Amino acid sequence: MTSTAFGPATPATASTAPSAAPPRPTAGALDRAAGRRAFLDGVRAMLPLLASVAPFGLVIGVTVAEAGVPHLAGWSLSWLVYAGSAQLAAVGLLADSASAAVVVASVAVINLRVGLYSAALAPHWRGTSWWWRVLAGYLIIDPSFAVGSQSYDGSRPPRLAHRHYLGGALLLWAGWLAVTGLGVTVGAVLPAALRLESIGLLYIVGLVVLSARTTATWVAVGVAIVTAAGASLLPLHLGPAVGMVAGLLAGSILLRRTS
Amino acid sequence: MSTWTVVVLAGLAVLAIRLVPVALLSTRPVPAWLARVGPLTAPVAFAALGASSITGAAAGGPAELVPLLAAVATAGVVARSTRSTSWAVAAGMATLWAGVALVAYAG
Repeated sequence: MTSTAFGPATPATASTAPSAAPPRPTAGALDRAAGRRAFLDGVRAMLPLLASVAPFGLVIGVTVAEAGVPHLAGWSLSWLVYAGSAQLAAVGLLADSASAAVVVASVAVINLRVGLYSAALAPHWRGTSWWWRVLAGYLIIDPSFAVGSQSYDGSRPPRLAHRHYLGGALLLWAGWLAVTGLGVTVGAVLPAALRLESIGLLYIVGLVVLSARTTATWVAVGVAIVTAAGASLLPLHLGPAVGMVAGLLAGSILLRRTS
Repeated sequence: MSTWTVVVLAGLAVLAIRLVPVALLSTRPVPAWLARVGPLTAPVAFAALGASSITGAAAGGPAELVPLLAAVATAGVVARSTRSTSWAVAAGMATLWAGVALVAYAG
């Protein structure tokens, strides 16, 4: 007997028996088709987010071109650091001839939130190969975490969830390298009137509304919003990280008291 | 230290921030506190990032802020009623463009 992942077991001799019925796809073919569909679903989920960060990528590219930083080194931040705010900070600091320690520390602090994303996604990658964990971890940033939170929402088996995440994350990575490269080489002619950068904000508003289902989550969200807004004057773009920590603490305390 | 060296060191620092949690938590049991706050991470992170974006837009004055707040409110209401982020973005952007046009007309 040969079993498939999508239906009951079928006799192994079925494919050799004379029959007028069209040949049934093999388990492997069905598996590959489901994987392709999940990958493309991830790509589709990422498209609006890529559209929203593309203008920012162009701006970063233009900044590299105008800051007097070697173009190839400045653009390489896109695949080495792979985080817009941190790249922008690094280019500014490099242009001001800041010390290596200041550049590295600033980039690390700005990206502390990525460690939170990584901690949230890591349990879903238990039992996968080391190279998958390195690749998936390297690709984590705000939009890929947004798609990842959909990938691992429990609606897909783990293997398809991995494909979904990979589809979105790889599109973002390739798109980010392309738009920052475009910014470095040809400069930015942003359609400012379209306000496309707002797509990302509106998308995450939708995500918050859809993912906040309990009182504790709404309280945590409220605390995060107030704290992040209040902390927006802090240097090094620390506001979001402070807001996240405050929101998670508030939610955690509430959950601990109610459980 | 050359620019390239600094760029590579910055990349290694960010890679460590990304991979250390993956290395620790994909082979060991998730700590109780992390299991508790895990489901909160996504909405809280996005709320903080959103608040930070809106605060940044506030620097542009009411002409910048009011259409954006209207768009955010619309996106929230549409997301809640349709359970769709795509509709939320579409309705929010339409509100934003209408708001920007109204502000320009009134100004």
